[in-house]
Amino acid sequence: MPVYDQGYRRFEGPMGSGFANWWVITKSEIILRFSRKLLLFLLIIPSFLPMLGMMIAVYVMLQIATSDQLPMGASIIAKQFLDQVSTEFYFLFFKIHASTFLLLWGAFVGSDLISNDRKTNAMELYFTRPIRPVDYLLGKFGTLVFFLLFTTMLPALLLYLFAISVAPEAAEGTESYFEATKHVPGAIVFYSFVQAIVVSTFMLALSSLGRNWILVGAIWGGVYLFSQVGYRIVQELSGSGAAVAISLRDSLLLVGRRIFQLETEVEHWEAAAWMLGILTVSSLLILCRRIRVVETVK
Amino acid sequence: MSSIVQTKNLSRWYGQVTGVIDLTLEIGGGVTGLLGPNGAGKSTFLSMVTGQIQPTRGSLTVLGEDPWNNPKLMGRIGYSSEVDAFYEEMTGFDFLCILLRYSGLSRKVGRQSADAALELVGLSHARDRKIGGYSKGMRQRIKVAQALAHEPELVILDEPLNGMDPVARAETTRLVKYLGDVKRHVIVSSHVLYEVEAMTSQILLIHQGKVLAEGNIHDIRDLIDEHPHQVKIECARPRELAARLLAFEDIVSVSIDSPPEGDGNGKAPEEESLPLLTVTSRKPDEFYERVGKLVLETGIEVSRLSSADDNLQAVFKYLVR
Repeated sequence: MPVYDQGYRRFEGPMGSGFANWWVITKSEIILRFSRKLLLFLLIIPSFLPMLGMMIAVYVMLQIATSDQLPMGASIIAKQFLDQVSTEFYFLFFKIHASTFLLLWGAFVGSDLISNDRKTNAMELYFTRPIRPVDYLLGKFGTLVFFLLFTTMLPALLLYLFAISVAPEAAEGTESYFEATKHVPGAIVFYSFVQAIVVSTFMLALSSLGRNWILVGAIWGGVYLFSQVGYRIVQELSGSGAAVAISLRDSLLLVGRRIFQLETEVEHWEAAAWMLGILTVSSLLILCRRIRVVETVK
Repeated sequence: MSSIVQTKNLSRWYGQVTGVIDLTLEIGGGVTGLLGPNGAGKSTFLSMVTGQIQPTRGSLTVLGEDPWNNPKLMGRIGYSSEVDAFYEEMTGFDFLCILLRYSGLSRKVGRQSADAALELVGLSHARDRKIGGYSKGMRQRIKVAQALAHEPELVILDEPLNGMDPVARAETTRLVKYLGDVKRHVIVSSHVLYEVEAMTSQILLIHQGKVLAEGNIHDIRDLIDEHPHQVKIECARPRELAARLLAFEDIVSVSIDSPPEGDGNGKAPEEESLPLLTVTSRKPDEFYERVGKLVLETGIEVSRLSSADDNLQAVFKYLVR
C-alpha cells in the first residue's frame, strides 16, 4: 500500500455552511432513488399517468367539441365534459393520487428513510459529521416531501396550465374559465404541501420505529387501508361525520375539499383537520425521541 | 503537547448498566492506543468523544471543545466505528463522496479527497465496486478511509483491524504509524494487545469502565513494580547462570525448560534450540544490567533474551489481577 507516497495534511479548503447540510442529505437520497430503475418504472413514471390520461381526455374532448365532421350529439357530450373541467376535475387528480400513489410512495420511499439507517447503523455516519439531528430529520423529510410534491403538485399544475390553454375555446359564452378557476393553482400548491407534510412526518415516525423497511411499509399500508374501513364502520354505526378522523386518507381528502373550496360531503372537516394536526405533532415528538445514534441499554 | 482529549470524572450509564465510571484522563497528541477487553467501555468512551452520546456525569473536551451537540467539531474528527455502517448498494467511491459532502466539502473537492483516501487504504482497485460485494477486510478499510478522507485533525479508529487479513493488518498498522509520523492525532482502540503494541507505545488501559493505566508502555511497567518481572533467557548453560542469579535478593524464582525435541517422525526442530531459563525478578532494571555482566564474565552463550513484561499482554495481566 503506497502509504508513504501520499501527502496527508489537514484540509483547509472551504467547508459548506451548516445551513445546507439537510439539503445535501435530501439531494443524495433523491439521486439514490432516481438511480433505482425499479422505482423509476414502477412508481415515478406511473405517478404521471393520471395527469397524462386527464390531459388526453381534455384534448380529445376538445377536438370532438370543435369538430364539424362529427355528429352534433358527440359535440354536445364533449362540451358537457369540458364544462366539468373545473375545480372538481383537479381535485379528482388528488383523489386518484390518494387512492394509489400516496400509499405506494409511503411504502416504497418513506418506509426505509430512517429504518434502513437504523438497520445499517448509518446514523453514526451522519452524527459523527457536522450534521445535527435536525439536519438529518429535515434531510429525510425533504426526500419524501420532494417525491410527493413531484408527483402531485407538479402534474396538477401542469394539468391546470394545459386546461387553461385549451379550455376557453370550449367555454364560449360562459364566464371566463380563468376567472372561475383562479383559486385552483393556490389550492393545488397548498393542498400538495399539507398532504406531503402530514404523510412525510407520519411516515418518518413509523420508519424511525423499526429496522425492517418491509415491515414498516406493511404497517403503513395497514394503517392507511384499515383506517378507511374503520371509518366506514364507525360512520355506519354512529352516523357521525366526525368519524372521518379515523381515516388518514379520508381526512386528507376532506381537508383537501375544503382547501379547493368544494362542498364537503361530511360536515366535520374540522375533526379531520384536528386529527391531521395531532398526527403530525405526535409524529414529530416520536422523531425527537427516536433520532439518536446509540441505543439505550435497559 | 496540549491534550487532545481531556476528561474529568467522566461517567456514562445506560439505565442500570455502566459504560464508563469516573474517567479522569488526558490523551496527548500522536497515536494513542485504547486498550481493554470487550465490554471494557472503549466504545462508550469513543462514542462520547465523537459526540454521539452525552456523558451522564463529568466533563469532556476534545480538541479543546465539548463534543456534545457540537457539529462543527465533528468536521475536525474522523471516526471509524467498530460496527459496520454502510450503504451496501453504493460503490466505495460514491460512499466516500457522499460522506465528504456531509462533512461539508464541495462536490469537486470531495471527489478528489475520496480518490486520495481510497488510494491511502489500498482500495483504488475496488473504487467502483458496490460495498455489498466487499470482503470483510475491504469493508474495514473503507471504514478507515471514510474516517481519513476529510483529513481531520483527530482520527478515531474503533477496532480497525477486526476481520482484516494479515496483509491488510500490516498495511493498516503502517498507516496508523504513518498518521502519527505526519503529526496527526490518532486514537485507536483494540482488545488485542499486540495490535496496539505494533502501532504505538502510548497506551491507555481500560477495564470495566475504569482506566487501569495510561502513558508509555514503560511508564506503565513502572506502575507495576510491585509485581515480579519475568525474563526468558535462552542459554547454553542454564544451571550455571541460574545458580549465579539466585545469589541476588531480587530474584524470586528460576526455572529451566529443556529445548523442544523432534516431532517423533524423525524430523528435528527447524533450528537447534538452547534450554530456556525463566527468571523472575523484583528489580528488572538492575537485573538487566547484571545479567549482561554475568554473561560476559562467564562466557555463557545466550541466544535470546526476552521479557514478557515488555509485552502489553503481560502488563494487562498484571493490572487486572
